[in-house]
Amino acid sequence: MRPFFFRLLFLFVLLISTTSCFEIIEELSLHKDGSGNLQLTLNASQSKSKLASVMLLDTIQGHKVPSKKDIKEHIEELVSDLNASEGISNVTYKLNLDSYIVSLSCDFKEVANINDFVQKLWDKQRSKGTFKSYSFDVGKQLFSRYYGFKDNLKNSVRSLKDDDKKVLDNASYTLIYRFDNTVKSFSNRTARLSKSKKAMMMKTPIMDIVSGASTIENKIQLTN
Amino acid sequence: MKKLIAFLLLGTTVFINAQETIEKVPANAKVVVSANSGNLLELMSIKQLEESLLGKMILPQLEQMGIGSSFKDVGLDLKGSAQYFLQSNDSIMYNVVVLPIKNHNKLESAITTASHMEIVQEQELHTIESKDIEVSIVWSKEYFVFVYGALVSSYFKQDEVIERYGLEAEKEFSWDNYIQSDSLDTDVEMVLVKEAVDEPSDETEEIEITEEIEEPDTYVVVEKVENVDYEEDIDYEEDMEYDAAEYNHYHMEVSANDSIKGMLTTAWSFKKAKQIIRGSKDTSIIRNKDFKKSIDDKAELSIYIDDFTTILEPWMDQLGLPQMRMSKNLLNAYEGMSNGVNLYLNDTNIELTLATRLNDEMADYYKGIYDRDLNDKFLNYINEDKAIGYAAMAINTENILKEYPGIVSRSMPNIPYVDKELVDIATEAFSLILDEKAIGELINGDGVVVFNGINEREVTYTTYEYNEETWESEEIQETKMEKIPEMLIMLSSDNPSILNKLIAYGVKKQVITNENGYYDFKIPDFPMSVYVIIKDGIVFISNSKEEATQIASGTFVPYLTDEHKSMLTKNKFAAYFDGSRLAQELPVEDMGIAQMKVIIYMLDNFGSLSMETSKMKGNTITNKIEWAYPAGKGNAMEYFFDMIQNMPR
Repeated sequence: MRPFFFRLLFLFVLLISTTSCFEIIEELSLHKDGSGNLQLTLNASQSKSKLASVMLLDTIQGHKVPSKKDIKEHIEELVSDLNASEGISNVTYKLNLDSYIVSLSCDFKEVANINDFVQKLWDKQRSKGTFKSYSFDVGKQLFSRYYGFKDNLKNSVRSLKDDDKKVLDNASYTLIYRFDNTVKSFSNRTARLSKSKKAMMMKTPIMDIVSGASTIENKIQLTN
Repeated sequence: MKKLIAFLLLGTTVFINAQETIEKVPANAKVVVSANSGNLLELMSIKQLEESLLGKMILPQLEQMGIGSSFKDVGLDLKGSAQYFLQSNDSIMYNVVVLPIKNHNKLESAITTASHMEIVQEQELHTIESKDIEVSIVWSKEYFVFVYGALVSSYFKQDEVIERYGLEAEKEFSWDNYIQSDSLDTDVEMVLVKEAVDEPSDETEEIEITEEIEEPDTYVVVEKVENVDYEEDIDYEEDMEYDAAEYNHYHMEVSANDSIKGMLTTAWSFKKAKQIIRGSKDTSIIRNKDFKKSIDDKAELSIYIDDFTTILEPWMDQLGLPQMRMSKNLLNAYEGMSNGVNLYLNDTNIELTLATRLNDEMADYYKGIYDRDLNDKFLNYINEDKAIGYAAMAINTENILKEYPGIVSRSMPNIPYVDKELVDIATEAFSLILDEKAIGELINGDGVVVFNGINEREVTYTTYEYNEETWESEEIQETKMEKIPEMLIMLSSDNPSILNKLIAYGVKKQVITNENGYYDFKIPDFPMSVYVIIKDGIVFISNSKEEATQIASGTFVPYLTDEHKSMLTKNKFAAYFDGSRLAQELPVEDMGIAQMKVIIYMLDNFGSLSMETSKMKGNTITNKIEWAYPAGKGNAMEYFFDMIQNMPR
């Protein structure tokens, strides 16, 4: 229970804060043999004043606001689940609640291990569907990024209240793939090849992914 | 019946106060609401009212009821007055509405059309009779009186009263009382109500008024319920834990009593309605000096509350809950307090005043608490051109801490399960633990919060830069402009030495930074920087670095008009808010909130609001709320209707 004056001040900060802004960064380093490292980062640093105000309230727009302890516990649970997953090792995380940045990193034996973990998470939420994010054909050295959540994400966003949807307006998704070999060809024209030709990057607004205006799907053929 | 009540509400909606109807309000009314329609109709004609949104809502209902298509068709005197009052004694609370009549025939026609009931004449008075009627309605050629009576249940639980009115003693319902009960007498007989229905006389205090109370009419109620076979009527299972027949007996008792109580309510309410309509100036509340002092004839609406504890007590008894009894004890502290509220709808503003007259004991406490004036040095740090609002108070912390135990002790004399001696020990311990003088010197009790609008500041955030060779990421710091509300809090402190020591400790521990005369506090989890300055016996707390620098260096430029200076220094509490200016400063485009257009519309058309609580005059504290709406919006009535009509949907 915080004094009324401060509650009022925080609510006011929330009211006048510009719309939320955050970025998700997916970085995948893939070796020739199919093993590699995945790092996922959620950076909400641009909205830190707003989030700091939200954290001082109990609820926002009808949603319960988690405490720092809750956030830490959820991430640790995820880390523990990842550690217990087959083919996944070296799971680490960084949580910075001053800047509101969280990142999670793990090594995998093959990309299918990541797919299996995501599927398990999905099943845990009692959501229907089979999802595959990555595939890598070691023989052909062909890497594929799929986007299986298309309709689910669209429906989820559609069911949100207008005020909640605003949270996604300025959010972006960045995908970075790094390889041992150089890239021979790729299917997604919005992706950019690095000067070394061994890495690809694409950055897109999340709302474009939701609406279908942009896709994160890509097929990348590497040199042998 | 609903139609009749609706009709009354329609009548009162367009009313407001005059001398004649107030003469019908008895001297010992506990609450009086007077609506002065003469003043109201100076602001808006009946025609304008009929064409307004309110008229468009009400008139179709009048037409539907078959009364007519104009407010005038109701037959009431719209330029006259309307009174609502509450009168109570230990057995009944009367809610009464008195309206003046303009056209007796039109009114009777409207009543019969709305209620479908027959009009009955009794001497010079008229009424309507119906078995179902829950209220009493009586009218003469000049006045219309509506009475709704509510019995005080605790009164009817007394043995003497039960015997007097032939009631059945009711058990307090509890399942425990009905488990494994003995045999049941299936013959339930309701007995005669005592022939003379004695109504406890109304108490009249302070002024010498003898209200003539007629002997009540004689009522005889005989009703018999014979041989009710509960076994046949109720299909209950044999192994049920409670005795269903006993349970039904309980309901029979209640329903028999309800019937008698209903008769009493009707009889007393009808008698009350006749008393009211035949009341004269001599027995009227206009002879009550306290009422006269509290109410202003120039106000459009006035409310008088005589000792509000006597209004709440019957309700609390009615509920009969332990926590309610506790609240009742808390109210003891405010015994004998009266309130007068006046609402003025002026050409450029709306004003509401509330005068509270305290009892002598509470007045002494409050005089101690209010024994401090606002530090006039605060005025050197307020710039009216910048500020969107402020709130100030001037109370004496030392006296609050000294008086508080006394207030607690007086408020809790008889809380069930709480030992009075324990309360006294606890309050004394409170006094012992606290050093009132030292706390009073640290925080004197006067302070101001100034809301200095919404300003931009530069903030840093983390993002990433990517190496074009490998797309390796690197964390970088970037800046952006962000809007934040700026606040300044000022508190007087005669002895801030403990604060200085705390700050010195914070500086040593590197959670506070000394920045050339002001301190930068790094408060964990707080979304903005906080700057503190201790200067000239004032503790300044601000979230604006620019303002902190100006205060510390003595370069702050104050500006306050005499009106605001006076409001701040002449009152115990004062608050001001300029809604229209806030609307101009809000970053509407960025806020992205769906309902924002309504909020912006409201703020844009809001004007300014000020609130103040005066110093004590005798035993009276006066609160005033003034709403100055933007110019060019017509008078208060036109402004209100315009606001509602043009509200974005």
